[in-house]
Amino acid sequence: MHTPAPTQLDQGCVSLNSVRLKNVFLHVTKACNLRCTYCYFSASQPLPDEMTTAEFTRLWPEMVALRPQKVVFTGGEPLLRADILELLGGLHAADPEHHVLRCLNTNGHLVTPKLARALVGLADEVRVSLDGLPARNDALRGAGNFDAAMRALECYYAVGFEPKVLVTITATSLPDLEELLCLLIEKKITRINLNGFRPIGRGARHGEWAANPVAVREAVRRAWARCYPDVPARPEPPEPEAQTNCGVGSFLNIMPDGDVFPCHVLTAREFRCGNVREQSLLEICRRSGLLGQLRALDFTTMAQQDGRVVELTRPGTCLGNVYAKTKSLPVWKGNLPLIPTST
Amino acid sequence: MLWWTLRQLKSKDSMIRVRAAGKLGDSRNREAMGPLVATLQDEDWEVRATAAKALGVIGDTNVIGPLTALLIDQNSSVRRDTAKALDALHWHPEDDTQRALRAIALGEWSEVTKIGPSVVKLLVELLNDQHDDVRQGAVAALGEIGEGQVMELLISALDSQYNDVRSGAAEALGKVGDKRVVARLLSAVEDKSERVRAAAVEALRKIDPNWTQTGVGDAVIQGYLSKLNSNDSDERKVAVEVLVKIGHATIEPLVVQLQSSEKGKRERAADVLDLLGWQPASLRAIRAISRSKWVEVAKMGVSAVEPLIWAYTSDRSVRRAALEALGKIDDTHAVEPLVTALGHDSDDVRLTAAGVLAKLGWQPATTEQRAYYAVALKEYTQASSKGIAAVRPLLWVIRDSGYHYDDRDAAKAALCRIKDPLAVEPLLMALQELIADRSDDALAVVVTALGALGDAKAIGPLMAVLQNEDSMSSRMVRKEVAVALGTLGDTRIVKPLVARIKGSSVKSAWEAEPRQLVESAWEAEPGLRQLLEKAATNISLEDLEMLADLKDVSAERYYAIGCDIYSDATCDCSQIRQLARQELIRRGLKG
Repeated sequence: MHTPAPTQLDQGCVSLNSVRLKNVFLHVTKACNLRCTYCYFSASQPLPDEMTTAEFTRLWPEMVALRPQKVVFTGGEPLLRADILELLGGLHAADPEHHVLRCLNTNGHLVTPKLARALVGLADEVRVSLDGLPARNDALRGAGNFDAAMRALECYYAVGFEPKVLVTITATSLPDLEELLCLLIEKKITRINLNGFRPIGRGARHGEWAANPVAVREAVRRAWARCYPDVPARPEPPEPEAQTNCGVGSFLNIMPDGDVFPCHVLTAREFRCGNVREQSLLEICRRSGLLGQLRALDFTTMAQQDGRVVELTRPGTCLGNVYAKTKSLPVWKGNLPLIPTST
Repeated sequence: MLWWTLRQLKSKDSMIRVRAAGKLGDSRNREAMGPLVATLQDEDWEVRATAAKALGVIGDTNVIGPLTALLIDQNSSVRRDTAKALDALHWHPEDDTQRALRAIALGEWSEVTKIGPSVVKLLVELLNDQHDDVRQGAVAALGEIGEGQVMELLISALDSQYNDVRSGAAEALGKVGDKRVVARLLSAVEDKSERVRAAAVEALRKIDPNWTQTGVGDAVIQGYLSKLNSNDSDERKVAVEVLVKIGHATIEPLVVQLQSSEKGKRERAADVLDLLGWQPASLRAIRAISRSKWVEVAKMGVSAVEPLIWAYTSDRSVRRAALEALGKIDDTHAVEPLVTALGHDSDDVRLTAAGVLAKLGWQPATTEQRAYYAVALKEYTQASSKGIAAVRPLLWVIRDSGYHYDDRDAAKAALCRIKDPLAVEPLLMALQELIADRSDDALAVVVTALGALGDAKAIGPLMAVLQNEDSMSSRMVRKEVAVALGTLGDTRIVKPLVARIKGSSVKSAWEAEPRQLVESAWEAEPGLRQLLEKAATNISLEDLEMLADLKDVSAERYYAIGCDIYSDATCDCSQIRQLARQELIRRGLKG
């Protein structure tokens, strides 16, 4: 594994030559004790060559130098790694000034009171996935998951965490959304992320599961009105106009084997930015590299160059989905010259 | 063959006509006289002159009449050959005019002047003659005559299109010696022609040896002295010549000018001193610097060190070259000014000096030198390890907008990495200076550096800054002050920062706008989080409970659900709540 020279990191400013990252999603394992029907990562068994504790330890100084807002330890199920506390502790030790928030995703099954206590001080944000009420949730995520997730949330709350619930919204679970939100708020779980369904991985078989965003907003509005009847509603945020970039290039997906991709969706080989075993993470994230090119993409300009990619400019559109449909168009090669010609 | 030659006199080719006229003269054939007299009107001056000569050779006095008429020919060669032909015919002028015309034609100017004022009119006409010798003779003759209206005519001649006429007129006026013409001659001193200027100065000297001491004369001299600095090299040259002529070409002001901070002025002074033939031994280096002859300067060795120091400190445009020249002087005396230059307030001086020293393989001897050297070489991390010595040079970089963004950020990071407890004092001094300057960017870094040092001495000044909102102009500074105080573990920040997050400190409707409330909360949140991470155990129970109940601040609807969706319009206080609750649980006060 590549190790940068100490002086390179001592500068404390190496990230200046790198893309500015928001979140790094660190897939510490592909192993998972669940088989969620829509899992974008198709998580099940660990990869044969997942990164070792020592390899992660060497990665932390570079990660801190990049100063992402958050590093999200995810999987698979990250708690299946026996060294998960060591990994969190490693990043904690490498970041004494606490520039980076350490987040831990889990499906909840392996969270115990003891583990929750051990995570205090190591994790800044603990997150549990939960998509619906018991029947629909467990049909999507696996038997017993609803109860396990609720127990995990209680464990976390008991030791002082404000756990966050990650809700993947599909057309299948949408009917439960209002009730689920009300239930969580009633239990003082107010930090809730609503995530869109990604038709990749196992989700690729369920392309029709994408939920109607208007229906999602309505469900949220109804839940708000029920839970906070006395809080006056603030004006709706203005409808976003055309997007010039979906944020691609601000995120990083590091796979269990060290491969680096720009996001959850852009995981085709042509978007492989490098591998942290072979290169410095700082080098992978340099502004002049593929990530920097992606960050600099101007969707409006691309749509002017070729009307067939105009969908890019619609708010909320994922670049990966449009690319999958139009990757043979010259507009991509023209704007992303680092992508190999063979694609 | 006479007929053929006579016919050739009418050829279209002027050379054939010239040869024909010559042949007819040589033939001495009187039959040719008529055609030759007619040829005296030929359009070509050479034909006319040859015809006149031929008539003189034939020797018949009957042609004297037509020949005398040719004494006023516009061409002086024709006039001269005509006069010679008339002499050959033993002609004697009948009056002063004819005598004058003959003398003029033969260039016998002394004869002309003897005739007196009656020839003035003729001479004036000759001032526009196409031949310079005639013009010069005429104007000189006018000067010799020097009577009556001649003075006015000579003054008018100073405006002639011909340099020789103007210079002759100036000389003539000098001979006349009338002080009334001084003013006019002063303008001639600025004539475009060197010859005229010289003549004018000479004439002025003749008329009044002390003319340079008069008000007008002094003004002229000052004018020329100022022209020594002209951008026009010709103008400088003229000024030098004139000043030399009138004995005012003193080199002192030029030597002073050699040390001007303006490169152009120095070069011009060096040029002028060259024109004056100035070859000083002692100031060779200054002169060479002034002419940007850096290789030559470097070869001068130690004697060039002082002038080179002067050059790099005086003129931005030659700094780099001067410092590089210092580096090429093979003497230890040249190193010292380069080391001094590491502390210069100009970044390019520091950088160049460091580069030159690096090439020389110089090794700093003191911690201060190491710090300044490292900063100049942009090795900021290296500098931060030098502790207090690095504070000043790093602040230069941070405050200098001429530095690249990356450099300034690296210097900021380095300043915040200084672990030397002694650095507190210079940082606190810098804090006060930056507050006064309202240099928010640098101020925020100094605040962070003070927080990172962890010295309680910083708490008082930082708290004063936090409590005096007028002393800060940006949210960035307020945020950094809160973080620094949080890092220093000062629990007094809790209430004011909580008030800021709750919006209870707003003073205007504008501050009460949702977006402003969020931004105001952003200032306070990191400071409280820092305090909880560094010193949660010191926080009172009352404050901890207040922190555990702190609400998020959002400008968006439905924030409580899906906070990440609208996070750019939200101040998420969950970390504060979480850390406060965890501390309360640790104290056994909450489950």
